[in-house]
Amino acid sequence: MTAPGAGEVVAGVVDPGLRAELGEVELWTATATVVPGAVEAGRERLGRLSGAFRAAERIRERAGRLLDVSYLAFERQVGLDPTEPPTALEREAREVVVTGQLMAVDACHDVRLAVLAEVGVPLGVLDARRTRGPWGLRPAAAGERWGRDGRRGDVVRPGTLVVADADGPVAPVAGDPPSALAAGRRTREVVLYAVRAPGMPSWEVSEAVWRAARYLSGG
Amino acid sequence: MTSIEERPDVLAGRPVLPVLPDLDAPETLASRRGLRTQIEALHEQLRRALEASWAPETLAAAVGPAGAGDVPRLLDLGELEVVRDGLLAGLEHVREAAARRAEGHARARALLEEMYSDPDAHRGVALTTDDLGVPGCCRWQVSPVLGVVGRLAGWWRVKVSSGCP
Repeated sequence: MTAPGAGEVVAGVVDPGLRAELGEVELWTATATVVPGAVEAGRERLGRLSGAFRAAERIRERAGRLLDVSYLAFERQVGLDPTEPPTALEREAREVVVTGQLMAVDACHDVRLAVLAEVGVPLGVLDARRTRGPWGLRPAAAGERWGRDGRRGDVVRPGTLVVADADGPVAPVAGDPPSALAAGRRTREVVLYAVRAPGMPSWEVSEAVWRAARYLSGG
Repeated sequence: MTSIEERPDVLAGRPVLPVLPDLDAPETLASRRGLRTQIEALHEQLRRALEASWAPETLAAAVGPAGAGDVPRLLDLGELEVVRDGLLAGLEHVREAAARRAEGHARARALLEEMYSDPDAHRGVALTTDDLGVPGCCRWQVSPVLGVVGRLAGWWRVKVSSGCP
């Protein structure tokens, strides 16, 4: 078995117990290298999207959120309050109703925002230097910590549903990854991931990850 | 032997079944899935109710105890019941708030008709599109014709101001 190439979208392993409880949950991942032109391209893309994005209408249709409604139901099923977005990106993106435009920050932020506006999928971006595949979905075990170096990361509450790599949990299934693992302004090698909530078409989530990888790698 | 009498030769090989279900049975995957289906349906009803009556008062009514955790995790049967009950309560509150809002809109529309039919009796009364539950930024106000002259002469009319600031 060969390792997946850059930009190739790969399905993660989902814990059978999790799938039995929640239904058709999936994880899609891809790796990408951020090209220097991605920042400018991302800014232009958000500018174009701002002109066509009907944020107020979407917020009304989706009970105050920008994600697809499948994710709201999913958050309810896993004990979260869907009236409050679990990611900072979505909380800030709702300001588009006031500002009238999707604000560009950096390449990784911008690609997440573009995917959120285009298809309503919550995309996560990890620093590829701090995680290694294969990635999967599972409940966290007792004593596990975020990240590769188990001594440095905070303890994960047992039972938390997480995206995990070969070494341990790297992100919650809904919410932001710890800042030490998340991709930042200067990150060049990234891991993109998106969880498919039941009710959301599988192809739409995998394509969102693929599209984001293309955006970052200048494809 | 009559037809309703028990036949020992037939009953002998049959397993003995309990008359009532075991009410103390532990929770099962199927029971949790059943509750999850209920939660999904209620969540969708709540979303549609909010979409149909999108206003601060209905949004405030929707906020309840359903799903108040801070990390995603698998809920047990008791927790799923709490989420389901919270959704039911939230849905009821939203429907009540929406009904109150609709009543308010109906009253405002009736008042607008009265303002047009008898402006003199409604001096200074103002209504906005929010009061009427219609989109836009219009404002209807009973004001005097020609300012002070109309005020002194008792000439009143409904003035419509349109357009957002």
